[in-house]
Amino acid sequence: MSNKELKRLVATLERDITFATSSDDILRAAQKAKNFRRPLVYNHKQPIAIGAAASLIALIWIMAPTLGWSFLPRWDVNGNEWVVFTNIIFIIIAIFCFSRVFLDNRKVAQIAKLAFQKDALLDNNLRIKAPFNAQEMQIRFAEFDRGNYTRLFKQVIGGEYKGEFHTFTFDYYHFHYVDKRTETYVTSSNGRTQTRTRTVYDKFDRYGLIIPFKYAKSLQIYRFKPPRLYPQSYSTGSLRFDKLFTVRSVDEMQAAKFFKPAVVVALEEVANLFQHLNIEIDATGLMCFSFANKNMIMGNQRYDFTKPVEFYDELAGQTKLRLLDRALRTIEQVLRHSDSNF
Amino acid sequence: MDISSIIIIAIVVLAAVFVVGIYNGIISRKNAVERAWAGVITQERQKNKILPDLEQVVKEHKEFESSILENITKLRSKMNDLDDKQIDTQSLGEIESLMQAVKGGINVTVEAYPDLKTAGLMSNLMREMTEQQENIGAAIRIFNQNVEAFNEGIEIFPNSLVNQMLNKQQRIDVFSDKQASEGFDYKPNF
Repeated sequence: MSNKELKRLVATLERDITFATSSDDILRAAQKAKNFRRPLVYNHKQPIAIGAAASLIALIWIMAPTLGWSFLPRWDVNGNEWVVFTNIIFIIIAIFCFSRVFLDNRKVAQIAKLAFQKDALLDNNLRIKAPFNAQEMQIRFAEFDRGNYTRLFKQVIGGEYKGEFHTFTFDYYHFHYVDKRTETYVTSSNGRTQTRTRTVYDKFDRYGLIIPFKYAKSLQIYRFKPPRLYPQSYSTGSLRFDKLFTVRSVDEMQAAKFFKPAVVVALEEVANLFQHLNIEIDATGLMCFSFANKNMIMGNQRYDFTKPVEFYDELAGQTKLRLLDRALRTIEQVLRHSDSNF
Repeated sequence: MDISSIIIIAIVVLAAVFVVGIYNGIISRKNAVERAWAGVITQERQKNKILPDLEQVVKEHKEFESSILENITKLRSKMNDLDDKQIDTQSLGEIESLMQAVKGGINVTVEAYPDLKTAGLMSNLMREMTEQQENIGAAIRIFNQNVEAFNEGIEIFPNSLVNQMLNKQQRIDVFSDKQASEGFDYKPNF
């Protein structure tokens, strides 16, 4: 089968998966790849051969003056612009051929990744939502009071957790912020040393869950220090917990009510599963469970369209988002110990 | 003052700061153990919140064995012995065993008569009991963690030297669940 047919199939898959609204839609698309009866890999013999030949000619031409080969017109002699121009053409041909090989393969891999991610969301009843207003969230939570240049929510995904004791809605987010700073650096040329300044943009990403939590208010539990802090510090009495986290609240009573021993132990257990874990409850009873792990809703993709049959089976199965599940179970445990049974 | 005198004074001052640091560390870990113990007792006393209701439910439903009521009475009197200032892991162990017996008896009856579980107060009581036991388990775990840190803090060198000369603290026993460990044949030889 030709590359043309494969290209047509890839375009169909891209369209079908982009507009898929159910797991069945994704499986129908994957079935088309399965029916193709061979791995979705382009035959790139031709561009590789052309690219290799063009690079070889360009390389020989560039090296010729150094090696003393006189059978080729010299490009380093003044006035030989056409030789330089021809050489550039060869380099462009080589770059074009190799980037085509790279981009074609990357596109197929990206479509497979999109299919897997969409399927993982659908398997877990998650849906993409409109991003939060960064300014509004910055007022609510100190966690989002980061970044002096830019702050925005790149992705918000909504879901519902149905536990044994509590059912609640949650929003998963990807928060991106940029810090702008100027730094000085030293340059030296021709024996002269100069001190210059330049603007540097440091980019950061944080991820997390927003959950309604009506049993506590105005509380911060953090490993990654937020810029704003509540006035009262609190110690839980567990040497391990106090080493892992710092607690701040508006008053000690709020914190004392929240930190039942089972809550302390539950948070100790997840402290090392989530990088730079912070938990913040705002004044209106909304919890922000934030961390630096970027793979919470990605799942563990094992196959792609290079193995269409195995990839179909992978999509047909249930994708488990273990980190998300662990976070939600911990939050349910905290809720269970915060509510009243009577 | 010559340079060698300055060096000697600096070494003495540094050593004093080091010893004070160790001394204070041992004291703060001891305080953390005492606080964690108080936390265990506080959680144990939470049982007082549910014992009257539990007694009432057991009396109202004749399906429950009389031994449950006896154990609840024993549990109440034993809980009065608990002192949040005195670390007494033996009394705590006895209370935990009694609570396990009460819980076990209730579970056996509820399994035999599933309708009991759905009786309004009973389901809430069972949930509260489970949460209380989880909190007691967690408080004991925090206590044991703090005890471990304290024991390590007085045993490692040079803390052991500072403790022998200044703090004079003894090792504290961690709490171990007798009932659970009796089920094992293996006993560690430390």
